[in-house]
Amino acid sequence: MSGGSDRSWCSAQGFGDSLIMLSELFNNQFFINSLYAAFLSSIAIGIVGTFVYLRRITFISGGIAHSSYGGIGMSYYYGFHPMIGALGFALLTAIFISSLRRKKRKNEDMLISIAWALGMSIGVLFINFTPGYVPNLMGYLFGNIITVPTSEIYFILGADVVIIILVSMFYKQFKAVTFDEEFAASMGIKTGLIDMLLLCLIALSTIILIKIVGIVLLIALFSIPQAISLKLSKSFSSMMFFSALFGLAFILIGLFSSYYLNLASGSLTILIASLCYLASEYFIKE
Amino acid sequence: MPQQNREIVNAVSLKNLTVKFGNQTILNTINLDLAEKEFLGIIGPNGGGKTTFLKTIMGFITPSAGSVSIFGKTPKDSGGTIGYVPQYSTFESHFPVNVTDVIKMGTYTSKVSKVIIDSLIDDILKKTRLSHLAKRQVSELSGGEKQRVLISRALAVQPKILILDEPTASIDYESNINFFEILKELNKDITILLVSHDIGVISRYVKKIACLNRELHYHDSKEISQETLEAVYKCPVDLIAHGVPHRVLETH
Repeated sequence: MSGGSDRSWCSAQGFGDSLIMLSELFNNQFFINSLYAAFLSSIAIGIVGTFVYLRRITFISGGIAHSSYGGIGMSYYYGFHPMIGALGFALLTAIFISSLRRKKRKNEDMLISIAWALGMSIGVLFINFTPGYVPNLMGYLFGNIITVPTSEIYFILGADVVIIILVSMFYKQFKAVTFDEEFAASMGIKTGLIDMLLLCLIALSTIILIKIVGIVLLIALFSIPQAISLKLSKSFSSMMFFSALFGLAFILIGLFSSYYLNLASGSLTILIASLCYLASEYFIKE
Repeated sequence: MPQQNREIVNAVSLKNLTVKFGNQTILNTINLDLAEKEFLGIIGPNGGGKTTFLKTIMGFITPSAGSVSIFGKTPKDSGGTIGYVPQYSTFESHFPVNVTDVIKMGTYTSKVSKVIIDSLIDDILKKTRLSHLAKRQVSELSGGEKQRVLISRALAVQPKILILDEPTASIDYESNINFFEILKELNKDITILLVSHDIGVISRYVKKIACLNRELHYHDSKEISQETLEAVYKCPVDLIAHGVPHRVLETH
């Protein structure tokens, strides 16, 4: 990123020039990609985020997201697509956490902590092993929506499609298990399997959101839009809709403010989301 | 549901049921035969294994020894036979759902049409006196109302057995009486099994009482001797029965 006082809203060039810049933006493939990424990620935020938030497993999503860094490091060393590495590690972590916390009644916090730190460590080690300069890793950690290549848009689209298919197939089961797992089990719903599927959906959401806000900041988009939406919602489906809407709004405001202020988009997105959450606590009566 | 099996099968049958967590024995060689349409109240102190007992019957916990059978089947094969009513205090009341939504969850594994489900839910709402709250958000309900929502959800499964965990806990007296009147009505068609640490209200409504403190003391009746209670609770009975222990014993 270059120094950007010349691109600021506050610059002497004024508002008209800013509009010209905006029209230029829409001719830029990267900018178009970042709009696609924003819309596609709002789907994961709305659908998966609602289940994650209501089931109170936001920190599991943090663990799964951080573990994916191991796959990113590995992809640089072996030379495959970072999204494949990230997805592989995230899915493995999802399956391990969900099966261990059930079968062996292990301490969930411990499992999350291990996945969280181990994934990051593996990632850093592989990057150590990789000869030469490894570019762009900050983008995976803290997000950089401006630099989403078209290949990654396809990954994001694919992950969204899988999420939509799985959730529409098992919507009732997800809802029942999220609301009351024991009752769901007493009805004969395979709660262990549904739980594992939900964690796998988190893994898919990780690769969707990884370039938007990054591994480190991702949990905020699995809690803030949902927390605000819950205050406005009377049903699961309306909470999903509002969460997607808020998620999209935060990401777009982050994107545009990042462009004009020339600051990191992921961090701006989270900053805006957090401010909106504070405002909602103050203004919206439940 | 039509009765397909004509021979008499017990609703719940436990044979030498033992549950251990590590070295600790939670339930010790429990035997119980509960006939259909029975109404059994199991009382016992906190930590006496009541919750483990229910979870084992529902198949959430695999016994270390012995067996559980629900109408002749294993708990894992009896999905839809049991309607489970958890403690209302564990109820996630921050969820964006209304009363009808929650009750409908009881029909999620059923294959019948939407029309039939809607009329089933109307019937249940009437039985549990919740019709006027059908569209109310669960977060706006009182404790007693939440408890009736949970029993309605269990009824939506169309179960042959209702299992209730501490239904009297933290509900005011009035709501409890209300609740037990509903249970009494339901018991005409459904076998009911409930556990509680509180003898007070339940002893007036159940048909049979058993005491559970690792071992089950049950004599197929509503009679409990002072000795049994004291053995189970390991403390004077007056304390746990709120000074009215005689209420347990029916006059003949």
